[in-house]
Amino acid sequence: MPATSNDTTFRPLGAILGWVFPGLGHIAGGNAKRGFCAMAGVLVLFLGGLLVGGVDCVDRKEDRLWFFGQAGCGPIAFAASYANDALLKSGEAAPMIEMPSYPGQPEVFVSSYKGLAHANEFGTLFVFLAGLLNICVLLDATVRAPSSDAPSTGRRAGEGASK
Amino acid sequence: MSSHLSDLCTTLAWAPFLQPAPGVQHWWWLLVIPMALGVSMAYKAIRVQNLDQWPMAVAKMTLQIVAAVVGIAVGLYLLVVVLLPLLPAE
Repeated sequence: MPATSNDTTFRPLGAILGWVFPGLGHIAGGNAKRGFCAMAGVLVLFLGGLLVGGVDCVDRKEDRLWFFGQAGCGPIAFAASYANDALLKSGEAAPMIEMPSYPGQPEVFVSSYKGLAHANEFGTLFVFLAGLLNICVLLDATVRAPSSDAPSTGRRAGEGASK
Repeated sequence: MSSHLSDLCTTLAWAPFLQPAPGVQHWWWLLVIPMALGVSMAYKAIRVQNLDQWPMAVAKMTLQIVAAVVGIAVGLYLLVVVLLPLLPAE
């Protein structure tokens, strides 16, 4: 909700920019400080998830349902999924390991860097939460009045109202 | 001693963002703290009226989430370990 104005005109550009990069919708709308705060929160979750689970926790092919939420982060989620394909699944970053398979079934190889159990679960959850929260942030950017934070910066409530 | 040395070697060989973080399998429950912090930072960024209140609001909400999770954990522990064994077996 806008802090200092009743102007709640719908601004789709805020949502588009907010999806391009977290917080960018607010920054472009003149609410830079609020945008950077939101960006920090979303990136703490997104980068924290990648740090905990590795890029394997963003996988638009094997974890498609999770990826629907993770995609709320925008292009950075697609970049992480691409990195997963290009570095891990291709065997570029680490050797591939043969997995047990049933007789007669094709051999399955996975990266030795593949995340398992808690590391993969929490990494996936962190990035998923980052995506959902970024959707909240970009929706806020569509209805928040431009430069609505500006009057409160550097001045306390009630100050400078009249002379 | 050899276990600590093994843990140290695993940590030193860690490739961040490519490999899962070492030690997470043992300390996964501590991840509720950064999770609560990240959620609070993003949520409070769009909820507080005055951004000067943002750090304090984030700290308060983080503590509330962690306290709620700990409370649920204690409640479930009491239910499963203390209360359920008291029920008649038949």
